[in-house]
Amino acid sequence: MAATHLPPTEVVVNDAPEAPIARPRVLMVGTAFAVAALLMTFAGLIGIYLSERSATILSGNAWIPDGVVIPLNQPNVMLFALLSSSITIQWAVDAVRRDDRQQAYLALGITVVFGLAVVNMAAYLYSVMGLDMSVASITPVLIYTITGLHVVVLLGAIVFVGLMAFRALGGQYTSRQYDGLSAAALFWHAQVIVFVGIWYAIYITK
Amino acid sequence: MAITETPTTTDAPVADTRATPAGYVEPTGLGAVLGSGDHKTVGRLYIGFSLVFGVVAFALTGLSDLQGIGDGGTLLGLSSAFPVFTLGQLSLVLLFAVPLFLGLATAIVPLQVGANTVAFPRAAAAAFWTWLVSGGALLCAYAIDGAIGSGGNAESQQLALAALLGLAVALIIGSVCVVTTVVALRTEGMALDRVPFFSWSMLVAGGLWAMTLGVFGANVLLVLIASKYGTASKYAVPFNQWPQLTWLVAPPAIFSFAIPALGIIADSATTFAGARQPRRGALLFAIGLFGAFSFGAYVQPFFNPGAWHQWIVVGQSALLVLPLLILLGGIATVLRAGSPKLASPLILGVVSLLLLLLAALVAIPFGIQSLQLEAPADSLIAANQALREAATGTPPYLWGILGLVATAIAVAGAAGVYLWAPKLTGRRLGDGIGKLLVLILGGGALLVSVPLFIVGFAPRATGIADSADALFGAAAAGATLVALGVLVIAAPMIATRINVLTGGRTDAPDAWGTGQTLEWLCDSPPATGNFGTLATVTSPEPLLDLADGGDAA
Repeated sequence: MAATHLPPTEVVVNDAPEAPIARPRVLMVGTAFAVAALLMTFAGLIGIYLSERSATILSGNAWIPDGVVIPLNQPNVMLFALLSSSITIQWAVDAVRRDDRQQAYLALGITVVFGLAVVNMAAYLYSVMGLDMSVASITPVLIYTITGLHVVVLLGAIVFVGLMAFRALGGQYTSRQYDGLSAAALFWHAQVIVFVGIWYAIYITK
Repeated sequence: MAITETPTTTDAPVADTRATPAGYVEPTGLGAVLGSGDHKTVGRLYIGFSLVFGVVAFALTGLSDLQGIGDGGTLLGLSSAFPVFTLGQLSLVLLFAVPLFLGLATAIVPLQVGANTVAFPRAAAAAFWTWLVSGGALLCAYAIDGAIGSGGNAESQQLALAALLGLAVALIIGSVCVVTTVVALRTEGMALDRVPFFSWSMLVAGGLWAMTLGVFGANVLLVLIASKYGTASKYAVPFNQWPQLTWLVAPPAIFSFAIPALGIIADSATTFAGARQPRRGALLFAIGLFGAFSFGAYVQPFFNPGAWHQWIVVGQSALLVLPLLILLGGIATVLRAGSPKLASPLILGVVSLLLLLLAALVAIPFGIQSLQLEAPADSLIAANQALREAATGTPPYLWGILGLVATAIAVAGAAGVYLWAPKLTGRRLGDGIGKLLVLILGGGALLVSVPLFIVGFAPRATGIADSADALFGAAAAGATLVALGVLVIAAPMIATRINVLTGGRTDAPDAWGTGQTLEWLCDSPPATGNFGTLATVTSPEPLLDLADGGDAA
């Protein structure tokens, strides 16, 4: 007889903890594929950036326009904040897995604050770089497109985490079912990885 | 019994999971269409609109070919030649090929894997409407002087670029929904190697499309930002815009949009052979291999001049032939093992496979630099300014490859529509019209491509230039024929659906009588929720197990 047609059997009572719900991790799988698309988008952009930078330097021209200074302090702080936020989002997932909801709320809150701090720092960085889009160079277009898109993705990740935080507050996520939070964490980690790539390709190599 | 104890009709107990809550009233009329998250409705909408866009796309391709005749300014005028050309090329991929397969997949894949719905049904519906609105916006933008790279109205061009971005995002979301369905919503016992061929091909294609269109979105975003804010950069120069996007309609990337065709072909063959597919794993491997070899987001000649001639790209193109040959061998094997019925989906499927094989073969010489097939054929079109502009970034030989692959996709799409018509509309479509389609689309495929392959050799053979008018005329006739064929796919499907909705008869669940996979277990057309409770699947051909009267898992 098929597994789905098993007849009811006698009820066995014991003290063993409830088993996790056997359900497909739909949101996790969907997020994983969306993350793959996201990573490829940035891989395409960073690939173009590196290719154009290499060609420009080989032709004897300067890659960063004259008078523009890209400081390293702000990108370093952003990197540190994002790496820390990767830890806090994982802390939130772990807390929910342990049914420790207070820690989960705290960790989610800190993660969102880290995210907003990075958005703030990115805005400040733009203001101090003095990179003018109107010059006849592809450098500003590439830098603003790549870093700007990352900020947009980060804002999306903040909304995703915020939404999952509200669901956690509503009691939807427990140790038996926390897929939504895992999916949000996966998306968050992905945008952190993207920033590591941006940090190295744009801010370090310049 | 070996597969499922679920029952085709009434004789076995089934827990009905399709029951709707008390007080729920099923929406009817326009509300049932506009507000629906039902995967069958969304799939039908995708298919219907993609076929309409397909007629437009092939008609535009025909007009582009006509521009090649004479001095190029006689038909549309020089200013219209380039917009018609680029819109035709983009439409073939983004408004026709991908959404056609995505529509079939949205409707059929959940049925094949035994799911009650597609994953994220509201996201799938949102993806469809985003695609439709973006497609409309693209056409509107072109109509108001917004052709990409034409140097027309700047704001209209930005609308066109934003529409392209919307199309890429919508198609990525739609792909993610389908792929997630295959990965996470399979019924019990259906391991990945037991998934029907079409669902498997959509798993390969959807994953690849999400990544390829992600890179395409990055290209479009770069052009959009440049044209809005960085107008002094080289990316914003009109003549540089189209070449940044051409890789999407060139090999090897263009072949990635044909991956689901392989699944349709294999499913058609097994269905009409009436036998289990021998060495099924080899066919699954071949489809995966075809996907791997058709990844082309890294082949961007604008940023990497000479990319088409790199050994890895040429080798990749050459290797594309291999999985197609494996598939051809597999189909021949199953047809020999069974007693095949020569129904139209089978014939259309085989023709589609042969066309793809031809396309893969002619793509090999394109990479060989000494043949100069990527040249814009200046010797041919010295007096034809419109064609020279159109050829920038897209040599005529490539038009031929794109035309051939797009027509192979149309043929495979027709095979899919005719095969699964009972699930899409409620009953089978006329087999005679299906066989007529073989002639129309098969003939159109050769006409739309072969003359352009010959034109591609014009830089090396001056005699060809003398026949250019006739060759371009033949290609235009081929594109018109294919446009007509696409119309012939759509018309019976829409008519049958309307007939069924107004009380016409419907077919039995297994309408062909030789179905092997789970979609042939549910009603034609499937009710909301698709299935009752399915029992454990124990092989890739659950319905054959049921017919064999095997034991349950």
